[in-house]
Amino acid sequence: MKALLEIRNLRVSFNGSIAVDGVDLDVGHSELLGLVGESGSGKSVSMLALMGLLDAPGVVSADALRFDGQDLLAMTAARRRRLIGRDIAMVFQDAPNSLNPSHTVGDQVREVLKVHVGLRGAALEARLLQLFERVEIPAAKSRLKAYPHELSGGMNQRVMIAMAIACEPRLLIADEPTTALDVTIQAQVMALLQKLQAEQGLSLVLITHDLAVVAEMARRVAVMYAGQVVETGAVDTLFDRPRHPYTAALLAALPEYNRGARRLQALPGIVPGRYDRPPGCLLAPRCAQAQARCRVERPPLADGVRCFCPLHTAGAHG
Amino acid sequence: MVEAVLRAQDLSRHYRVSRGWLGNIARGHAVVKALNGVSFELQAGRTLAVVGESGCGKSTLARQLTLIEPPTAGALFLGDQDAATATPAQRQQLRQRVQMVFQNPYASLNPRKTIAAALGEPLAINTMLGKAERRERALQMIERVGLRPEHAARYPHMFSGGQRQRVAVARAMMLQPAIVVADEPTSALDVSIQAQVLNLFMDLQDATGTAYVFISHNLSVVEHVAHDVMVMYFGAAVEHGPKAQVLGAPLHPYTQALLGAVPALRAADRHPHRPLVGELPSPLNPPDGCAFHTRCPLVQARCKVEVPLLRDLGGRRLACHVVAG
Repeated sequence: MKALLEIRNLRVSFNGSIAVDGVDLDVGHSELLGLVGESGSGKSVSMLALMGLLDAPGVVSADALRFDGQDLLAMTAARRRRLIGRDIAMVFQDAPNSLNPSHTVGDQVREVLKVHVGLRGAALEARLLQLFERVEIPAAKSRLKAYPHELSGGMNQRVMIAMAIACEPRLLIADEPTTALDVTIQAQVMALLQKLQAEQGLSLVLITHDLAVVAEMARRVAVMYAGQVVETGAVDTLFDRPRHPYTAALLAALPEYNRGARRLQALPGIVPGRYDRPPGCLLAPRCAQAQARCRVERPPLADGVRCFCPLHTAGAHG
Repeated sequence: MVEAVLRAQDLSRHYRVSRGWLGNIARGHAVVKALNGVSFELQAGRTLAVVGESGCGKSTLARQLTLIEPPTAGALFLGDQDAATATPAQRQQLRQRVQMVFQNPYASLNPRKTIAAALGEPLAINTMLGKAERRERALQMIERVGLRPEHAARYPHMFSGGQRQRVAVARAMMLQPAIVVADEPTSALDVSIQAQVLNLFMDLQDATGTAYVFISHNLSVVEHVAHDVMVMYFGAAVEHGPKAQVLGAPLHPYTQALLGAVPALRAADRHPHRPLVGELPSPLNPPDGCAFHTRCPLVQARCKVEVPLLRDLGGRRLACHVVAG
């Protein structure tokens, strides 16, 4: 079966500084894909570019951006807008700041139903209440009249999710949906997303920097570094036997992997910036395995890993 | 027994909040009990981690420990002197012994001061050292936290988040404090940078014997750095004791729920899920009895009327009616 979303060689730059550098990504039907990486790795920007939400000076180019066989690049802006918001929806990180503070949360979800679904009157109200109940907002009826500041962070995030699923999208992109929330509330919101994904059969891209969240939620994961996907694969094998040195270093830096040790294994250095982007492999300056070739030639994403000398491979290092 | 560098006894902090002018006339100001009778001891070279959800009083506790605010009630001994009853001059002296590292290194450094100036300032305020000597000390500290001498003349915006947090740690260590209070020091940092900063904290503690109060919501970080763990809920400790007991074999239903809610990379690390329903109750309208009873899976009739007191239980302290022991 063909993938629901196909991204080929997506590039985004801002005034010459490269944010996304040739991302290839597929999202299958009803798949839950985890997209992980550190800040500045391009995970959010690549998804915003897909949604057409990047303004100047952001410059987006791609060889292919296909959603369900339709070419997003060839579409008129108006058609693309109709598709996005209805078939592709997004949940943002900071719910209280993503909602309009001067409208009630009910009004904000109502607007989506009016514009994209065309509901009016009693049907609109019934659907609205049903949505609030589906995202498990307690006392849904009275919460419709609440303003965002009257709700907790977790409740606001539920409103955001209600808004995102209002049009029954086929692809939901959740950008760090629980980063601003406490762990107990995070667990509730993640359980809700998982439930919705299973019930409605929608595809979900979960953007996060928290590897553990991905390990519990997703079946497939893509790891990004400095604007590129460096490794992708099934969650279990990727976390058990990472093949890219960056994935391995990221895991090794977690306290969970250093039980009993006084010091953590930190990856030296920082992510390359605008002026020190290496010509070869982007990780080469920080990589313990780097060889002469890595410093001059950029490895392609081959067989799920972007590295000349992947770990945990027969006949190679590790 | 080793002398405690920090001893809190029934430390409480209550805030008066307005109900609106009419409400204030009719019913008086409301009182939020942000911190409600917290006690603990901390020895040199040890780390106490304070964990809990937002609104549980962690940061209020940090403000009391660093003498930014006076407590409403209770005592806070730094060495053998009670900060709560100290004169303003004594408090200023005591403040040198407790320093703080804040959560967000993008906000906690003055953008108009070079790193050398930021590090020299605590010395300029609190010591009689001359300019050359302050600079000398600042340079030593810069090297100690893993930055290079040429960084001294740079401004905060020229640094990455991890480097800024190193500067913030360096500034906290300038006066050789007995205690450093770190409020979520790595939550704004990426995983690989977090590891670098945690290593710095551990190295400095090994070298100087500074005691840490480490406030965090990240339990795997807590498990790495802490000797003792105090779990707070609604302004009070619910479970407090050695790390191996509190995190390894949690007894309080809230501690269990907190651990169960943490996602884990490896299946073996996953705690049994006992998902919590609902959210923290409103501090203006606290529940009767045990503050946790509105969300507790083990709740009984007694929990709704009687506040459980902390009791000793084989090395740890626990506030729960239901858990036997």
